Amino acid sequence: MNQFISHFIGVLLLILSVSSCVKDTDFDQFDQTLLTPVVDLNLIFWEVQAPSFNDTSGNLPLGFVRDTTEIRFLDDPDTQESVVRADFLFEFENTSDADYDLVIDFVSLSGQVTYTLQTTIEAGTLNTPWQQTILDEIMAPEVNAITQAGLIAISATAQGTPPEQGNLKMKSKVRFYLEISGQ
Amino acid sequence: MRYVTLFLVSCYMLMDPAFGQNKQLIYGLDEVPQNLMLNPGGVVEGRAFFGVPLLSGIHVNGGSSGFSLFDLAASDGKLPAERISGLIRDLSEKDFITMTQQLEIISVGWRKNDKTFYTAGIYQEFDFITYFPKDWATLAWYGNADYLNYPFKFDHISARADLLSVFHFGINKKIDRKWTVGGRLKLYNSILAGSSLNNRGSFTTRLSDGDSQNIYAQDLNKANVSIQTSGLSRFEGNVTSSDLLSAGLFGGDLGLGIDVGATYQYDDAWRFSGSILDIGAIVHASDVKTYQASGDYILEGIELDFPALSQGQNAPPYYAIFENEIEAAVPIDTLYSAYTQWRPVKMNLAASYGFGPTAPGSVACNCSGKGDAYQLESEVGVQFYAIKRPKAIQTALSLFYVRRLLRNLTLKSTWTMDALSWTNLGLVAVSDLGPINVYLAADHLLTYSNLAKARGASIQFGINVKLERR
Repeated sequence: MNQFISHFIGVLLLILSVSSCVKDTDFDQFDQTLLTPVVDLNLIFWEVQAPSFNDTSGNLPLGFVRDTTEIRFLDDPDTQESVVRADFLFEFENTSDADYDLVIDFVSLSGQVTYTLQTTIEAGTLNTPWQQTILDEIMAPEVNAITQAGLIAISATAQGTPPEQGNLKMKSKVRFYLEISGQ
Repeated sequence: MRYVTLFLVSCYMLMDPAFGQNKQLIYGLDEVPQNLMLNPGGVVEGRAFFGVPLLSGIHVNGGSSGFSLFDLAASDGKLPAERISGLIRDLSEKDFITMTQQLEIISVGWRKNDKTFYTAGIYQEFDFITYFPKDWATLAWYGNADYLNYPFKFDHISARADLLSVFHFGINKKIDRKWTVGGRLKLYNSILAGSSLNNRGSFTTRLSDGDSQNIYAQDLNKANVSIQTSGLSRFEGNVTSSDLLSAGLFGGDLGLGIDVGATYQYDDAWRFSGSILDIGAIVHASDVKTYQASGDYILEGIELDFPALSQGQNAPPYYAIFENEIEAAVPIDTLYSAYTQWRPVKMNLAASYGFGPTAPGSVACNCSGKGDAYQLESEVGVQFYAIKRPKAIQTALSLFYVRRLLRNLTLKSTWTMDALSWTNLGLVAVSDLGPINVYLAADHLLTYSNLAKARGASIQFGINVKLERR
């Protein structure tokens, strides 16, 4: 009897150990799983006073301003692989009495323009600023032109006589739609 | 008894359920010498015991409070993304994943006289807990676009891992026929430790309200995030077994701790016991690295100045200026100063009631009522367990039934309610085959047919040599 119960318990525990298993699961399914976060980031902002368009101390012609900044995260390999769509939102405010031709160039580090956005900002006044919003939604595969850029160059050209007063402002943000593979 | 039960139930209701180092199957089981590791004031049988080196106490458990492997990876036709979204929605920052492993290297106990029993030994322990970083999992899974004005909180990041060896010496003293008390001194030797605790601050994206010149104010508010490590360099490069051995034998950071416990044998039937374990701390002084980032910053983006540049002049390095601003506002420092970390203190409480005839092999009757309480064939009771974890005190409540079937076979079954399950059934079998004492314990038995559906699993095993009293 003694031996029987001992053996019974031993066998019971052995069966429990041996029969225990992990089933009805499939971990390979995560190979195809994508993280799809949508990330909003502030991008660039600036404010140019009207007299800057009359400044000829630099090498730029009258009525023209231009500036460039690196955006290193754009041409990062991880960004290039994962960005499937980029929505740029630009908000402009003009309190000067001139219209402007505005060009936003995305430029690769080798100096090649990969994507361009052009618009015209209409004249406003100090009391009634002209406000304009541009939403540029860039889907795949065009978005690759964005992620190959490492620089953003912005230029504004005053139409006609450069203004004497007021300013031109821009705010911007980007919404990246990412797809990050589980592999 | 009513008040004891009321107290235990109240504790359970007030605190988070626990899992991790709970050894409800072994606690209070006089037949297993390792019972003394859970209550140094436990009742001791025999003249001496010697654990078989490396085999006297093997304990492994792991689990998650909020989900099972099946919840995560069921092959049920659902899209994995749907399942992950559901888990992120349902889990809270108080849910956790834990794993504990212990291995007794040396374990001995010997009796000085009728009233005094000594224990000593060395064991190795690995203990890991991470809480679910809900806000950061949400940010990684969904991004911030749909979470404007929501503060992603850094205190959701909380994790701790410890690998250590413990040298201990304990005394168990029988005061009289009712009281047995005990204490144990522990010398901790931390081999490897890492933790990220007490993080503060948040990251919020919101529309600018005058505090940013751009569209959003992306606000890193009072951020204070740190990762403390010690012993990492011991595992860099070619690590030999002698390196590990020397790290395990006083080669790490040292600490001191104590265990205390007591048993009150009210009469032959009723017994109450309790213990507090690991009241102590480790001073991490060598090979310490603490990475710390703290500060406030509102991320506005990159501001262009449109300077009038002459021929050959370059535009200002706006991006580098932007990065420098962030680094200045939220510096990431590496500190090498020592730090002290408390051990996760644990508490056990139990009340049991014996009934039935005397246990097989025991004396037939404690007829005078003056000798030691005698062991009865059956015992029922309740146990309460608590452990101090980084975010809360976690608790577990167990009901148990002990049956001494034969002279050399004892079974104890438990029903434990903890964070992982309210239907955790466990079973331990202890057998004395001559002087050889063997025990095997496992819980979450109902899920053994498919461990994927278990929120936890635990197993304990040990072999000792027990010498009976002359």
